Parts: sequence; structure tokens; C-alpha cells
Amino acid sequence: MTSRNHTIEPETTESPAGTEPPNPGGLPSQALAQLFRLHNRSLKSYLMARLGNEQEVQEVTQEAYARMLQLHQPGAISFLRAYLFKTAAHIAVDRARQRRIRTQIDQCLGGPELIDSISPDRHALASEELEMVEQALRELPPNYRRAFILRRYHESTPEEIAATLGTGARMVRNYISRATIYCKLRLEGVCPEDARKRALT
Amino acid sequence: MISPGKPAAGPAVQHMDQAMQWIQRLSEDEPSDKDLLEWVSWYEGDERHRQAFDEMQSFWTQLGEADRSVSFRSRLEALHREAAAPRCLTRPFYRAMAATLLIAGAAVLVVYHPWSLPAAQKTANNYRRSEEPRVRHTQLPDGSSVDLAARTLLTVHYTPDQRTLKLENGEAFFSVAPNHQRPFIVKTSAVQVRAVGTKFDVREETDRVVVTVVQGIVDVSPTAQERSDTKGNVQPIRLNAGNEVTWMKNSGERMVRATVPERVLGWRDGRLDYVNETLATVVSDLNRYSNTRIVIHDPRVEKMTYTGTVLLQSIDEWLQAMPSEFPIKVVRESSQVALEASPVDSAHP
Repeated sequence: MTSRNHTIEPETTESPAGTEPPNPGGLPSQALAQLFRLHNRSLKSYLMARLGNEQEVQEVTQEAYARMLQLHQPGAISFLRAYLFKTAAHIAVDRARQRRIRTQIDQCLGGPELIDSISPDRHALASEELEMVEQALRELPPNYRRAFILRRYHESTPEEIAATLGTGARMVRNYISRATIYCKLRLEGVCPEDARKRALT
Repeated sequence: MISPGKPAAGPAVQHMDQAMQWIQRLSEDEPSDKDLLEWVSWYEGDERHRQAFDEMQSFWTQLGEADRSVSFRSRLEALHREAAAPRCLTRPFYRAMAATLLIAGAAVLVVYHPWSLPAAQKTANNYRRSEEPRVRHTQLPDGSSVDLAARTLLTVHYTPDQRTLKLENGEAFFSVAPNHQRPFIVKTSAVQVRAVGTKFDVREETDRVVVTVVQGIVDVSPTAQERSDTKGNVQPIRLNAGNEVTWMKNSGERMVRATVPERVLGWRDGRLDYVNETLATVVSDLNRYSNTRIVIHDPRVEKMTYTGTVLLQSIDEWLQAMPSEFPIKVVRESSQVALEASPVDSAHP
């Protein structure tokens, strides 16, 4: 890995594990603290994209740092960074798998919908905002709208959507990206013509 | 969050697009280590990347969670179904149609199921899950609604005096809004079905038309063409709920029998139910839903009767199970699947 100038602000408020790490022969707490300062925000952001759930992100992050403490061969910070992210990614995959299984079990048993904990920090879209999203989707050209709905609400893969729309997976990702950006601009109050110009060209 | 007229600040669209591409990449298959570290470099390399990613990621998740609102979900489904229909059903086109409506005195809507579009407009249908609904549910302008089965072509002609619908192929289930001043008439090749305030199903096959009534009463009568083709008994039939008539084309033979409508209408829920139906008929029905054409070369196989249910999403599995129920084998040819008679002395009990 080539080294880069890190331009992010170091975090000073949180602490990774909550308690003093007792790690004879493990990762020096100094190295861990540095990792944390430099990459915690990235780590959380990445996990948020994968898990979508603040609480899960918190737990996976904790778990990832905990595993880092067990490392007996600390290397350069760039190696540690890679290791941290890989570890977190693997934990995330395991958890996603567990969640899927729990959801399948719930569905088989006809139980109540699995309640995911929404982070108190992020609000759900209000009903006026949902109406705006629906309105924005109506304004979109059909392929953008269809690709978006299939991806977000039908869990189709880009390949499946590509087959359905008669286009390629790359184009599908483009449709989804632009449709989302269009909706966001409209929600921010941009008028349809401007949003179209900015998002779809 | 909605404030009309506010100039858009925040990340540039270019960064939002990069962010969305990453969000998709990261949430598809498990990203490779290389992808992951590439993302970290991108994310950490520029404050604008971070801002764009965090904002788009948050929005994307909010959109996903919006699914929990039942009304949002159902409105989106309606929009999606509407969106999947051809252009003539989207509002601008319909307004243009409405204008010609006033002049011509008739409204013409052509409602296609996607698979019946001409080849040039056909969307690729090699998908594994039925993201395209195999049943199209459409509201008609008078408040009636129709479910269209696969490969079904329905043309709608509404005038102030009459509601006429022409079913050219396939099967449709109608829920008719009552209007005594404006009869609702479904025309097929051999018969026309006239209804007032009813729910009924019409299935057009190569050699017959089958009409099943779920609710209310319909009158089934031969078309002019059928009258001239047969020269025999062509009296109209009045059909009540819980009954169906099978009208053989070109012969005027009709058979009325009581039926369990739910079984006939299973296709709307993605299944076809059969009791003692010939494989010829079953395969003919399945070919409307199957991506691969199924053929039967052997008349003995055609006549074999089947009792059971075929799930429209599991046609392949059903085919694979066939040899254990019948003395047949399933042979994959170049672009189709053939059901052939299997020798009697093979490993069949």
C-alpha cells in the first residue's frame, strides 16, 4: 500500500474498547489508539453501508477492535489498517448471515416482522418525504425508476435487473445511482427540471 | 427537510455518484479485500468524498427503511406495475388518448402483458426470479379491473354506450364495475361474454374458450364468425357463479360444469391446479409462463392425465419430477424441452 496523507480529523471523544486492554504480547494499545484515531470514522462509515444499522455497526466495530488486540505480530500501520477492515468485514458478513437466517425463521414461523433497531440518531423519512420520494420516482424515466425499485425493494441483483431491462449491469448501477441522487435533490427542494439536469446528465 | 427554493448546497453530483457507486459495490457481494481497501483510500482521501458517502449512505438506508410504511410500499408497487406497462398507460400518453377520445367517441387502450409485445420491443426474459409480475393487474377507466396472465393480449374499446374488450390470446380475470347503462362485453375468437357487475375468468386456447364465473351472471354467446363456422346449435348460455362453460371452437359443442373457481384462478397466485387434465393442455398452459418452450412429440404422452399443482415459479422443478410420476423422460433439445415416452421396461414400477 502506498502511504497517503490522511486528511481526516482525528477523533478524540470515543474510546475503542471501553476498558483498558490487558494485552501481554498483543497489539500495543498505542498502535490501536492510532488506528482508532485515523480510521474509526471510515470503519463506521463502511460498516454502515454494509449493515445499515447503527447498533450493529457499534457491535461489529467493538468486536473488530477486540480481535485486533489479539494480534501478536503488529506490523506497519498500513497493514493494521488493512487487517482492521478485513476483520470487520468478515464479522459483518457473519452477522448479515445470522440476520438473514433469523429473518427466514421469522418468516417461516409467520412471526412478527423482525424489528430492526433504527438508530436514534437518524430519523426515518416522514410521510411528506415519502410522498416526495414517490413523486420523484414518478418523474423519472422508466428504466431509472424500475432499476431503483427492483434494487431497493425487490432485492434484485444488478445482473437480474439487467436481464429484466435488457441492458448491462453497469448501466443498471448507473440508473440506480442517478435515481437516488435525483430523489435526494428533489427532497432538498430542487425543482424537477434542475434536478433532472444535474442528476441525469 | 423539504424546503422549496433552497439552493442546493452540499456535495457535488459527481461525488454523490461516486458515493452511490461505492455504496452499491460494497453492498452487493462481499467486497474483495482489494475493493475494500480501495474504498478506504477513496473515503479517506477527500473530505468531499466522506461527506458525499455519509450523506448518500444515510439516505439510501432511509429509503430502504421506508419500505416499512405499508402505504408507501403499496403505492410504490402500484407505480412499479404501472411503470412496467408499455407507454400507452403512462399518464401523458393517456391524456393524449383522452383528447382523441372526445373526438372519436371511443377510448382505445391497448393493454399488453410484456411478453406479448412484438419481438422488437421485447424485454429479455431470461431472469431467475419473477421480478416481472407474471400476472398484470390493471385498473380500467370505469373502475373495473383485469388480471392478465402471461402472453395475454387484451384490447379495450370503451364508448359511452358500451365497454368492449377483445381477448386475443391467453387468459384474463375481470372484476366488472356495475353499470346497467353500459354493458361490459369480452370478445374472444369464438364467443363473447356479456356481464353486469360480476367477476369472471376467460381463457382463450387454440381449440376452445373457457369461461368461469366467480360472482354474478354472464351471458355467453357465439360471435358472428363462430355462428357461420358452426351451423349447429349456437344458442347463448347464461352462466351463474360457480359454473364454467368450455366452448369448443368450430363445433359449437359446449360443456357446462360446476367448478371450484379458486382452483381455476390459481394462476393469479402463481400456480396452476389440475384435476385429470391432459399433459397436452398442461404443457400448453405452461408454455405461456415458461422461459423454455416445452414440447410433446408423442401422442401417448399428450393424453396422459395429470392431477396436481404446478407452481409457476418452479416449472423446471416440476419438469424434473415428471419422470417419477409418468413413464416419460425429459429431453433437453437445443432451445426447448421435450417430453418423450419412456420405454415400459425401464426402471419404472
